[in-house]
Amino acid sequence: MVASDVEAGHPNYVAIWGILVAALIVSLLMAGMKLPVVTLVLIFSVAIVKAWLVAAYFMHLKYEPFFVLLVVFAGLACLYFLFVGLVPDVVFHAASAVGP
Amino acid sequence: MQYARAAHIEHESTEVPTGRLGMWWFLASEIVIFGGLITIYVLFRWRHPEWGAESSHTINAAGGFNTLVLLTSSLTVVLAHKAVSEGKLGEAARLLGFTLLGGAVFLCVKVFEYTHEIREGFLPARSLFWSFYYTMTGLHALHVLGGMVAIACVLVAVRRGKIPHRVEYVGIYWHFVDVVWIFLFPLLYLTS
Repeated sequence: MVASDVEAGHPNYVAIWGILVAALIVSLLMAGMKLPVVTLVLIFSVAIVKAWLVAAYFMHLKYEPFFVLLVVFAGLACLYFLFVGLVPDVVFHAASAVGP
Repeated sequence: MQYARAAHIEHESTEVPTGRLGMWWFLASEIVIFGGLITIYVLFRWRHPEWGAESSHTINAAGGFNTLVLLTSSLTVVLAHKAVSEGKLGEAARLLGFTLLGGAVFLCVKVFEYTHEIREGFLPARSLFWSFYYTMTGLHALHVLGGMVAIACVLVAVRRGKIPHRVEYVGIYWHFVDVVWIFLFPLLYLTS
């Protein structure tokens, strides 16, 4: 789709922007749905797709050497360990010291 | 590599220009800052479903409009990078100007939102949700402001025909700010 649209060494940025705007409209429409769990999953799936499009094509991550991907994954790995470390404390702990 | 690159110094072992590599390392640290906040927010949100009612007081239309503004400013900055790689410095400067305008519009909308919310009594001390809301959106707004200052500096340099490859670096930073907002918008506005 987009990769084949490479024009003068660059992908078709306007087409990617169009897809991003369409995804934004879809997110806004889904926010009105009455199925909380389904809505949540769909909205965040669309957000991940949007973030991937920006990172891959606007930030050119798709065309970067492996070393740059490694740098990005180092940051994401830190987040993963933070999440795994905090899940038992925040979610499954019976009494929370922090109220709403 | 499919997209065109401006001529600049390439790091020998990584085959990545040093400036761009530095920007990616910087962004890796930013991933931990924003990602840490988002991770902790998600975990607390999981534990406190009642935050949905608080979240319903944020203005979806303003958040959606700001998302559109940031996506469009991301387009203009990447088009500026393309213009630089084609040697069109005048066009690049004009596109960077549009990007700055996008950043300014984003901040104006954010000020409008804050004013509305504070008048309604939704202050940071009201609940943990609003503490997270002001911390995450405030930190993001500071990054937008910082990006605008950097873009303004690069814009002046490009107008003088100097250091055009920095358009790419400042663009990568601006896209990151956009990616952060792509996650903040559904988290704080759409999950009511």
